[in-house]
Amino acid sequence: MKTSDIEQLIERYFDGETTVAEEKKLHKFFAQSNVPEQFRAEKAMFDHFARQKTAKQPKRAKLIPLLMRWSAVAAVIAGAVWFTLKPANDTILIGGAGYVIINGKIITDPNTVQEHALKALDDVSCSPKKKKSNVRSAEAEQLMKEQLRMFGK
Amino acid sequence: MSPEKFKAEVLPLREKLFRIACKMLEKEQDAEDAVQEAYLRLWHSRDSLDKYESVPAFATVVTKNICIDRIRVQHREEPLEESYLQQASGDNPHRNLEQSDSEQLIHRIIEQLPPLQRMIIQMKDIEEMENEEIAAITGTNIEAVRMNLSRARKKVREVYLACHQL
Repeated sequence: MKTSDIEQLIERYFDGETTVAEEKKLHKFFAQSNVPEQFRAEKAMFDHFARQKTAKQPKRAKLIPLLMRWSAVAAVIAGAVWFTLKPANDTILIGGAGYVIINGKIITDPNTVQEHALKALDDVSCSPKKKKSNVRSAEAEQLMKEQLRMFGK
Repeated sequence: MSPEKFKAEVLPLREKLFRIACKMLEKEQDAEDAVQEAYLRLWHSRDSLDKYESVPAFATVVTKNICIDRIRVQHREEPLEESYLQQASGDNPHRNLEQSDSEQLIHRIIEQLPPLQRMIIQMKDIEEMENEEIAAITGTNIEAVRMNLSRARKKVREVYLACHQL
């Protein structure tokens, strides 16, 4: 903004004729550090008003962190609930009617079912510990065998 | 009290309040300023207005008190200008220190403005209300608001520059 425009705006400001939008332009101008010395009184006034406006906002400023805090608490609770209820990433449940559940999704594609059933069976046979962790019971193992029979293996 | 209720119940009292102010103050312009000031005070305390049994009676008391204050100011011996400079520049050991803080000086000058001008400058320059909004609250015309705002701003600049020349 040119100095002549600023001078004109300042004149209108002191005549009480400027709108709030125009006064915001003046605020922006006087917020600079290199304001000409001739405007020192105006700068002091606008600096004062800017500080007063900021001082009037603490209620709003406090409200935002408060909302953020509660949002964070809500997010933690939601996360905890999700982790509790969701199937683990590596959880593969094999059903008795030719389907698998991977990450909560039901997969009925015969090839995928077969692939996971074989892998699970392999895990069971190679490591007793894995067997304990991946296959919850002997009944589940039996189910897998039935699956394999169903696919003709 | 909601802004709508304020406009419906308090603004119609303006004529009555103006007549009271005219009787107490000699000049019509002073009476007009007193009523504007009364309306701004009532507006700022509108949240508690409902607790009064009679809002018109309370508005009358506010207006009369403002008129009494104005009469007292008119009878002050010292010229207003001198009073401003004395109060704004301060008369204490910390004067130089305080003067170096321009914002603090502006704050003190505004504090010394007549109440109506102080309230208008607060509503316009800090609360960012348009002249039209202030006029609607005070039940006056925009020109009256503009005039008082202009006087207030010019007075602040004038006293600030005078203080810096001391």
